[in-house]
Amino acid sequence: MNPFSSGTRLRDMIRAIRASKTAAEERAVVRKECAAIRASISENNNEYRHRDLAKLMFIHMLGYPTHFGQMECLKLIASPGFPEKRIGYLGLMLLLDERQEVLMLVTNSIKQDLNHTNQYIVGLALCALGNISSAEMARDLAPEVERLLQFRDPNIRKKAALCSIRIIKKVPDLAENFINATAVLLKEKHHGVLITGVQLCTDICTISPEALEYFRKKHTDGIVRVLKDVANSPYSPEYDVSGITDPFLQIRLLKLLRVLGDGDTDASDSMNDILAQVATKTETNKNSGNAILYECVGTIMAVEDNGGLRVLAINILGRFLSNRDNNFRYVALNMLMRALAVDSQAVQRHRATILECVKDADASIRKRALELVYVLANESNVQTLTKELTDYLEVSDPEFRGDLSAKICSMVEKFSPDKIWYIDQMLKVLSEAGNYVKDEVWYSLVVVITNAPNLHGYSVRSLYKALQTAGEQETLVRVAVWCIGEYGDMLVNNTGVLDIEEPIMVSESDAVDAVEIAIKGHSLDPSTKAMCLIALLKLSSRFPSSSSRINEIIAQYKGSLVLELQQRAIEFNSIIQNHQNIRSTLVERMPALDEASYSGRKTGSVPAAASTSQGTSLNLPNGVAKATSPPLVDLLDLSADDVSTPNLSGGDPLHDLLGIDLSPASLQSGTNQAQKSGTDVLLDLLSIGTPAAQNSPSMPDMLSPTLDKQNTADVLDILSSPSAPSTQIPSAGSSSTMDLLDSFAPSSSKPDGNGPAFPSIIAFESNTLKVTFNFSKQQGDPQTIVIEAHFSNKSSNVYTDFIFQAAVPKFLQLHLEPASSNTLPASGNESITQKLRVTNSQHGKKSLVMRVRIGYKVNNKDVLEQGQISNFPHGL
Amino acid sequence: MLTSLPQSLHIVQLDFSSGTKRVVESGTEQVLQFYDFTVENSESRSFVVEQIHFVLLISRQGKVRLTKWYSPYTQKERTKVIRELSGMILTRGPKLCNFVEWKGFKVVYKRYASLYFCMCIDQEDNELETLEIIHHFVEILDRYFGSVCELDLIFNFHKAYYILDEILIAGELQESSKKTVSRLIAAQDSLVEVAKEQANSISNIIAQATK
Repeated sequence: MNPFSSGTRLRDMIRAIRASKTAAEERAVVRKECAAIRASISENNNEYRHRDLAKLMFIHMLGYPTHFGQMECLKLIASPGFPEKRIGYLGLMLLLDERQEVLMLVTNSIKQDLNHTNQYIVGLALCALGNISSAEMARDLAPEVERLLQFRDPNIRKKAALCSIRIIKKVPDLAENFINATAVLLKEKHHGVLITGVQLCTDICTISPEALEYFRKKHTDGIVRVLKDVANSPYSPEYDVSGITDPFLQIRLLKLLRVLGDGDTDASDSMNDILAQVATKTETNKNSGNAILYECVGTIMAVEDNGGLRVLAINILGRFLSNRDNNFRYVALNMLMRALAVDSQAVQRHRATILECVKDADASIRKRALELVYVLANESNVQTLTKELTDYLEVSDPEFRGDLSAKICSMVEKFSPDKIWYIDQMLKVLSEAGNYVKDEVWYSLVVVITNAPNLHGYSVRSLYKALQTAGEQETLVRVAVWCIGEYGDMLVNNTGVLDIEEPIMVSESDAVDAVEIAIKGHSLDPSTKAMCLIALLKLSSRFPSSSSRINEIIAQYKGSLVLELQQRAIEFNSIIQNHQNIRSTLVERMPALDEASYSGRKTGSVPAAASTSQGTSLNLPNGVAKATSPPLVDLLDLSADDVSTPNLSGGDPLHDLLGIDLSPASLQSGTNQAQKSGTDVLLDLLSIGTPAAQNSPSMPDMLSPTLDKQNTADVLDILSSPSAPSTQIPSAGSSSTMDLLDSFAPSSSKPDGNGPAFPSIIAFESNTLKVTFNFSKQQGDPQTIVIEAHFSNKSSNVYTDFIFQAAVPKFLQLHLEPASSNTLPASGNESITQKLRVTNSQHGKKSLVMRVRIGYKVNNKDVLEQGQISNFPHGL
Repeated sequence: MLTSLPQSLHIVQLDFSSGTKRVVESGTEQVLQFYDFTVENSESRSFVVEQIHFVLLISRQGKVRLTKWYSPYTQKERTKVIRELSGMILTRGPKLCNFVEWKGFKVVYKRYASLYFCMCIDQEDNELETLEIIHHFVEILDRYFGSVCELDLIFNFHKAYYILDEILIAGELQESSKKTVSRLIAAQDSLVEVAKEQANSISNIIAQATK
């Protein structure tokens, strides 16, 4: 009986799987096969073992679990014959990876095979080691591999060379052991060995500075000679790729030259001739030749300055850029980005072509080109570039508009010659792609507008016009509505008309119409509608004649299902109806927003943003996500993060809210009526529009978390006593008001002091670094923990580019604030601090756990440390 | 005089400031997922040694025909990578460039008949050369199978792996001569044949002896 023909053969199994018409059918076939294989494994059946493994590999490729076959690989590898070993090693590489502990069991088999008399078996072992070796295996087997670098058969030498690359990547300390053997490989004639030897040399030089110095001194000329020989060699069919002799070898030699020439004038000088020769003589009809040219350009850009060569290189890129083949255009754009650092003038010459590439049909090319245009922008060309890009914005693919508009906006912001141009450009972008721009964009536009008093009228009129044509662009609507609210009077009265403007006539009711259309728009976000309500409130004061109409519009939202809108509608409705006398002061125009602090905070957030993966930070819910928190807390801005963030105006909103009450009270001269109305406003605000006396029992609940208990007792008495009619408040006089204020001030100025105390912990400690965590908690919010991390340096070297990253399980939410610095001075003199806010959604059930990763540079070498923190104090 | 205080306009300001406050948050927040490998940070690698990170063969229908991973990816990540990339690559039209950018890496792909050959390389690596490596692989497959087709690679997937292992190790090119690769594969295949014949003859002898 032939053992290779009984049972289901591999071929039959594949046929059965392919014949399956549905996924369920396929699963059934696989299940049946897996059951048979398991049975065969438990019988320890030698004859079918290698066929079983072949089947398992196919099943693995389909995505089914095959872990039960891992031990079979090991058995096959341990068997004596070549066919068994061949399939065993293949299975090992396919079914396992370097992180599985089973792999350690195979180390000994591999070691024996590396010493096998059959060179093909040695080859199999080297291949497996090169593809999946772990650091431990690399360390154990490095001497064997080193010895095989001198094996008599070149095919083993080349495999050993690549295996060495894997080893030194896993264990960089071993790099120096391979220097001598590598030097010998560089003199080889066999192309396979030479290619792998050159790669090994490149990687050793990247990893070890000493090796780089050695090869630079002793071998630069030799490598130049090898490249010269290959580049000038006559046609050889074995290595020919569309008319070029061994482009792979040439490219690898150029890569090695790049590493050797970078930062060394002598080495760079000695390779100038060959680089010039390759750059000029290489055939450019086919991809293989252009691949060499592309590599050569990269090397010219990296090695030390030689003006002539760089001109040559940029010209090659120019040719690529005008090529009809998209691949060449793509790599040209890619390389021009690197060339920019070397010679920006030369790259600027290709600006027009690059700009055309932004409009390409190919998304990869568009993306490259846009990034290049962005870095090419400067004060002198920003106007033309912006015009081109905004014109293109109108016709571009929707999925490209987000990136495109973001780049335009940041270009405009960086280089705008004056504010009016800035406002014009932003308006264009918002009208075309208002639904794609990020929030930062319109925030900064508002900041700029408030800071340009002479352009208020112009801005509001332009926005009004834009709103008529592009009312579906959300961010445009927001800015327009905000400006109409603030500067509605200027819109109607045509205040401060500039020469360039076309005059328009807008009546008061037109302005209200605009906001009404916006608030009734179906597609708009609730936060936009909330802004509309504020605008309406402001307009009701600016246009007293439209006040009743506005009130009607607002009143429609008193029943809104969105809490934020409902609350605003009720409050504003009450202000318009009952508090005419204070309304005008209440809705005065906003003061200019502080540009410096805004841009400061924006740039302050950049390093942290850069270190996160793209996208995570941008998808955060914005707008009315806050509507889910208690509205009163929202209004008073008492939540922890709000207090810790400096307010835009610099003043505490709480004080200002209370300020309404303070001024009439301290004036003392005010009539009873004035004082009453002032108090009413306060009560209105606190009690959401209903008279205080009826609602008061609920008030202590809302206030108490932030109030200092003793100080406020008397105030709360007054406020909470159901029997206290509002008329009694004046009799309490100014003292109650002062008390109220006294009690608020300390509670808001040091919010952290209220939480229960937790001991600090040493979260992470290594020989070089210590991290301590201090904890604090917001009272009333047990889920949120504010952690202040202190990093101190225990070594005597300065750490630069210090980055702290943390990861938490899904039930925790983590917010990292920017670190105080990214440089850590030596010997613990100073420390970096960084705040983390952790919200534990399973507070009380699960305790905190965190993984941290700390990266920094010491003497320009990257260091990465990581660890897990689970020693958080109990009950946190 | 106190009446000139800008009373209470902070209702509005509050609103705006809470808006801008979110800007700061969205710029600084790092919401990282536990064990999520997508937290890619190119600086976290201590040195960049360019290599091919994986090789994928995907059919036009999105079926995987060959996968080879030279960098560590867990099984879960592998499935995710394949799904994401087939979504990106199979939808690209003809005549576009053969490169897609993906998570800080580049994937170079080329379509041959019904199969897409994909290789993932580092950002700074040579895309044009990677295309040549793909072609090199395809030419050797072609020589071995004699005008290779998708079915050859399905039923002889292990042979395709053996060939790939003679071309790439550790994500680096091993041999630029197609002739050498073919010769090495043929030599190993004949080793297997010899062993098979021996096994057959032995089992025949046993069969005859036990008749």
